[in-house]
Amino acid sequence: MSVKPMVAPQRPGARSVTLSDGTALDDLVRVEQRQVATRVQSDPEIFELELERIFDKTWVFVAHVSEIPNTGDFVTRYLGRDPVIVTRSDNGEVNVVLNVCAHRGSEVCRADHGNASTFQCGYHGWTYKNTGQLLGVPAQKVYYGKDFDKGKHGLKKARVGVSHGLVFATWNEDAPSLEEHIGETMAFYYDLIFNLTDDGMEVAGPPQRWTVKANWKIASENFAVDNTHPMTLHKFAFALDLLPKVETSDLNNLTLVSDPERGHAFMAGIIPPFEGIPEDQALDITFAILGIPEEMKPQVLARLQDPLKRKAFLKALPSICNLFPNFSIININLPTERGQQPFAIPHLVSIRMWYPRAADEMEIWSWTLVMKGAREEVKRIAALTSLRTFGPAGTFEQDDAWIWSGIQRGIGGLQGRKQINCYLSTVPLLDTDLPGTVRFGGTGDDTVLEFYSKWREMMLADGTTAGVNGSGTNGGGN
Amino acid sequence: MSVVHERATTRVALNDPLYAEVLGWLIDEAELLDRYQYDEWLSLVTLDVTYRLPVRTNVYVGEGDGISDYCHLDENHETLWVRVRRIVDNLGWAEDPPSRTKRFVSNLRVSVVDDNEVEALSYLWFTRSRGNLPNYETVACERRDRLRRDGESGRFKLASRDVIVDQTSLGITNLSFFL
Repeated sequence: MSVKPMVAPQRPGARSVTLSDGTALDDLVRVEQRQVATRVQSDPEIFELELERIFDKTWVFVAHVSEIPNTGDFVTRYLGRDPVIVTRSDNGEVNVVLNVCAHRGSEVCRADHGNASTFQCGYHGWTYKNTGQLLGVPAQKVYYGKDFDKGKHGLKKARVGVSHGLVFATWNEDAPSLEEHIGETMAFYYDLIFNLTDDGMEVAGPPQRWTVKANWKIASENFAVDNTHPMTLHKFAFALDLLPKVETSDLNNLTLVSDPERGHAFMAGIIPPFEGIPEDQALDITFAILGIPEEMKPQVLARLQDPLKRKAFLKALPSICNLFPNFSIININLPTERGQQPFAIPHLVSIRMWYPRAADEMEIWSWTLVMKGAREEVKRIAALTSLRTFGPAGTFEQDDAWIWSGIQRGIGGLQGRKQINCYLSTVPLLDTDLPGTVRFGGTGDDTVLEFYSKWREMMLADGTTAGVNGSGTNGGGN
Repeated sequence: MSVVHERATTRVALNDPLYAEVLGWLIDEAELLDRYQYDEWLSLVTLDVTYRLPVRTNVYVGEGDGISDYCHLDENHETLWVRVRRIVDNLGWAEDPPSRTKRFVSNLRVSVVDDNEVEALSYLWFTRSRGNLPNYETVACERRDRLRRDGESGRFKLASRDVIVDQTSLGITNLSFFL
């Protein structure tokens, strides 16, 4: 039986890519046939191409605004494989500059975070403003005379975009705006994750960083979305009665929402669909499961005045998301103790970036976000819940990490990497006024194929453009 | 909130029987954990135990020690129980087949807190071999413990532990074990 795919067809204008052994990339990623070869996850040559064609061309998550709230605050991160400093300058703007001295390439900022309006390179003392501007060179006139133009020797600046408190950056001057990259669909739904309350979310602490020897796409794919693994991989939660037993048929109550043009997707449905109960009652139940404290409910209700938003909140609240290429979101609070009071866990969000260290290795960066306007004890319980369930020690995430590295161990050989992975499961499209491409049923692989479809598009794109549909609109503002 | 307890000031000499008792306790604890006798280990912690492994960041001189209030592990007795069950009852995947581990305890410094409690600072060098991988995953850390005498048995139990790791970016796949 041939399975009819419901994914966006390959876009025109692509160039062909042939790997050094003569294999065409097209032979490895045939989304219309629902076929993706594991070689895309193991081949170092493909990885190098990704650095150039994806990570150097698109928007990548670097920080949450609450990590740099005050003038002078900075954190050091990565944009692609390049080290960057993310700073808050005097005018309140966020800057992302390459952490490589314009003189001889030395590392300018050596700490993970702090507060400094200037950075001095330890090699020859070149000093930069936190905007990247070169302020001074010791003995400049002696070395370079009076015609030295400091303006030509600043730290390379990336374009910066902030959306929903999330700071993204890109090296690509021709990329569409961040707004265009995220798209209207996900922007709409992300309001339900990050903008429910007046003060929004803030980080509970610094990011957790740990190493998993697996290709970054194994993680992105899991979040784009794999709903059928929890009953097996996270079986402990069901065995210890931390979570109610789930039948496979329960997965039919989940909803998948995606933006196929952009390769973004999420799963909704941790909160069951409400049929035939009054809306205000449904809202109350959703607030309880989501973990909105009583005193904050008025703020949330005020932000759900739009009927479509309210409908999305009740029927398609994102739980597990992936934003192409490597930014993921967990919007679920999971129990950590037996007999935990139902609905006792406050709202928490875990955001993560799968840093591409090598074809066979990623570094996971994970941040916990809590409600900025909540009482301290509420924030503390949210933070504790997050780190106990996710992160390197997370009772749920520990198993993901080992299984993912197991994939990498298996696909490195010549036979392993010829394997075509199985993405045959599909669920029907739902006709709805909710934004995006909506499918009812959580077992489908369609949105994962959409991720690879977008991946293929960018890998094959003409080198000068990087927009949706291959059209490069000029860079919008920051 | 301070992650690290205030240092107790009354140092116990190396030739003091109390020092030997604490060292013996830590060595026995390491054996239990390396042998996956996790239920026995759990019986050695108090019901009001706090067990923390703070996230570490890299900061300039004068900016503190980079030890965050946010943790990789921040557990109580009940959440430790869940972790023990995952391993002992084989409910997870991260430890099946089990790792082979060695916990090397050293550099013990003991101080008296009061009649019932001592502070024990020790280094731990932890090695883990998983599957057939030719390399070890390792963690070097300092444990800052409070051991409290159990009223009934008179033996020490772990009342609190802060595990201070050196790495800011952990070079290990997961923290599916106790340090």
